[in-house]
Amino acid sequence: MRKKEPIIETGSVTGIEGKWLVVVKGKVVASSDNPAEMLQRAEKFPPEDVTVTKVLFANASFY
Amino acid sequence: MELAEFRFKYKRICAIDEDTKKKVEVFYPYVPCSLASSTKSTSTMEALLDSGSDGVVVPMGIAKYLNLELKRASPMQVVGSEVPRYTSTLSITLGRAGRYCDPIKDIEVSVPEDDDTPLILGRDPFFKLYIITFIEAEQRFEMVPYKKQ
Repeated sequence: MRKKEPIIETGSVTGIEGKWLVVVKGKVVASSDNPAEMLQRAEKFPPEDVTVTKVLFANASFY
Repeated sequence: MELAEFRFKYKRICAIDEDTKKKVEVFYPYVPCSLASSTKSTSTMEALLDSGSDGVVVPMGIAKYLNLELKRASPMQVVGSEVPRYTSTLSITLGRAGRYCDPIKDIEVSVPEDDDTPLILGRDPFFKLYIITFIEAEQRFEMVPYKKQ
């Protein structure tokens, strides 16, 4: 029987719909419409602590 | 190329409407990953795993950050309308928290002319490389590398 890998938590975040966020250890430290700007901000933090994510529009459908 | 098996919880997002300030709690299958061009790579980003997308969609701002070489392509069809787009290629590494797969190289991606879309991981190549199961009732999903019989 295949051993299952442990589940990875992606956590939770709060933000304005449509915004890109820089999240460090679960805390939002920056917000923008421009993902490139958020990626530049993320460079300042340890890679293991930082995530760049987007607040999707609720009930939206994409491609 | 070694592909790792992954199990993820859906990400909880509390989305705030900018005008009304109303909050809506939503859950999405977001995959932690990093993107790389021949010259640059991103921090860990979260991408929407989307079986309804033919392929990978990279917002223009991310393409510019990575200095991707863009080629003009036919427009994307999005829910009955056309969106101008480019194509390019890059590498994507899935995972975080000490669990990563090898980079998946030379992925052809679509780059729409705006930053409105999220980063999207669609069927080509991810649903070819992995058996993907969404367990919506438990708000989690699994990605198991596909092995040819």
